[in-house]
Amino acid sequence: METKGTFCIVQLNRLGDLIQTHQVVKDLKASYPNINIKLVAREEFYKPLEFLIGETFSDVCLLNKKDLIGDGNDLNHYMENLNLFLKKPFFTGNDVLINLSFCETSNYLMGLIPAAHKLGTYVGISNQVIVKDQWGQFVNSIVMGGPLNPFSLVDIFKSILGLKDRNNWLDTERHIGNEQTLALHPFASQEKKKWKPQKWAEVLYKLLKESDSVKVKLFGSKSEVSLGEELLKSSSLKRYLDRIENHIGKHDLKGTFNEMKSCSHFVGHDSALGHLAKEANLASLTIALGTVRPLETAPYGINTFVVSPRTKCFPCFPKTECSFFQCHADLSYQAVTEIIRGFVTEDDINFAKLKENVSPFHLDSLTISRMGPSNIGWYAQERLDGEYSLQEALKDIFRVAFLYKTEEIEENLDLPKITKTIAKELTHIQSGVEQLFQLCEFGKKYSKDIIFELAKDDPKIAEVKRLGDKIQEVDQLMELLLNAYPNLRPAVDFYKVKKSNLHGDNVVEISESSYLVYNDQGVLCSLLYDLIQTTLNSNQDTKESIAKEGNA
Amino acid sequence: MKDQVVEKLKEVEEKLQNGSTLENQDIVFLFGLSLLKDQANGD
Repeated sequence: METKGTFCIVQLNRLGDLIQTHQVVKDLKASYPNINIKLVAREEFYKPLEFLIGETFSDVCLLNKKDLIGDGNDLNHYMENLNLFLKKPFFTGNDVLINLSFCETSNYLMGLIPAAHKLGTYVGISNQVIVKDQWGQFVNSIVMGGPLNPFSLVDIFKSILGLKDRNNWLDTERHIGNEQTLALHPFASQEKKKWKPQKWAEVLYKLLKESDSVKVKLFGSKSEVSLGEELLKSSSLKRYLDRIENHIGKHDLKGTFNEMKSCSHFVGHDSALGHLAKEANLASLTIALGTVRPLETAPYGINTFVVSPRTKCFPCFPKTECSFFQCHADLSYQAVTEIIRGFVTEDDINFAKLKENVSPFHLDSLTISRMGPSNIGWYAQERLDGEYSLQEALKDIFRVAFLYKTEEIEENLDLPKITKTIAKELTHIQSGVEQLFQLCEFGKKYSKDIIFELAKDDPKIAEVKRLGDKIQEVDQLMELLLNAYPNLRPAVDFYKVKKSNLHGDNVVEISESSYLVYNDQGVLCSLLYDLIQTTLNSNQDTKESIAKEGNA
Repeated sequence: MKDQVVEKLKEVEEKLQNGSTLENQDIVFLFGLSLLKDQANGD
């Protein structure tokens, strides 16, 4: 059946998010060419990208904070400007309004724009955040709530928009400009996410000294010029400056995009230029630090690698205070240089070869991942080195369970290779899953009891209230369970958001919805339990070794 | 404008505390307020 209609996407976040939104919409239009797709974005982020994303959207409304505030002296004048902005014809006639920025400003804006359907979060008349669609609920709980989101943001955005076909981007052809020419963007928007220039100078020195054929083009914005100068003034680089071209601050984004096309590979921290390099179809390697979640934000496309530290606190939250940056130290320049060398000169990252050339001391503190499609075309992370951390093993388990639960898709991922310690922790988490399942059964029972009570000829309101209190107790116990099993947070938080957004106009309908949510959560628990068991069974040696320890 | 914003915010908070629903113009105000204090997320 032909799908028509007008979709209006609200994307108020920065450049990288706009590029990812554009990638999603390109694929959506390929599958549904008759859909009309509009965009609300901030002028400061949209304008530099207009050359790339301008044609993707049928209409664009730009938010310019300075214009709206005016001279900033009068609230009434500000309110008038806001009302004029909201009365634009652009905001009428939208069939579906979609929030892909999930920030406070976009939540309010979503609440103010009329639309037949709203996807993602929006604010209601009691100032409460509402989110009715399950992938919007997924972002609101699991993506915002912790480091265990097992999906790429682009895949999540596609799911919010209801796009089933995940194979469009696989037709993309790799672009190679000049052989062994590296486009390097050694900066990012936050200190946590980037190395100091001196460390990059060490990488460049080692790379250029040991690989005669490699050339480097440095990229960055005007605000990064001084950092680039700091990097290039390093005395060790003097002999190699003829193989380094400095483009920092010299181009706008369009110029940078065109200049990057003369390169063969891109290396950088997590930043918009990584996403831009992917739009140029360059092979890319991201050095992930600080708050960066490798799979969630990695540039989306073929030939993508990510190197990340195994630091216990990685990835952290933007608000986490940190002055030591252990994760920066855990990625050694020796190891990263060897990785970049293989990536640029051999067009691959071969872990076996790396082990020959790099000390285990350096390699053991990092993870190398190749990003690419799984058997179902969703973006997935393939570990090139050794054993999984608990977080990585759990993310794969959650991924398989959530995909089955939300999309009814079975994904064949390799079972995680785990150590004895991780197996013990998984066994512990499995018992938490059992307890969570039991709480779901209680939630179902009390929801059902309310429905039965209200179906009686003479329902007792006090009894309905008692059962309602019991349901509240169940939810409180789920929260308490997280103290002992914090890694179960995705399985609790996702359903907590669902329970805050129950469907129904009366107590019976709401209780029916409540029953269904507890039932769903119970099914997820069963899936998680089985997947943990399968993981433990597949690591039979580890399992037997634990059993022996137990018997001894 | 700061004083006007503080006063309007108090008014909106009072409504919320009393359990009243917000009017459209209250939400427009909250949208404007979030825009004032906003730092765009992400990269």
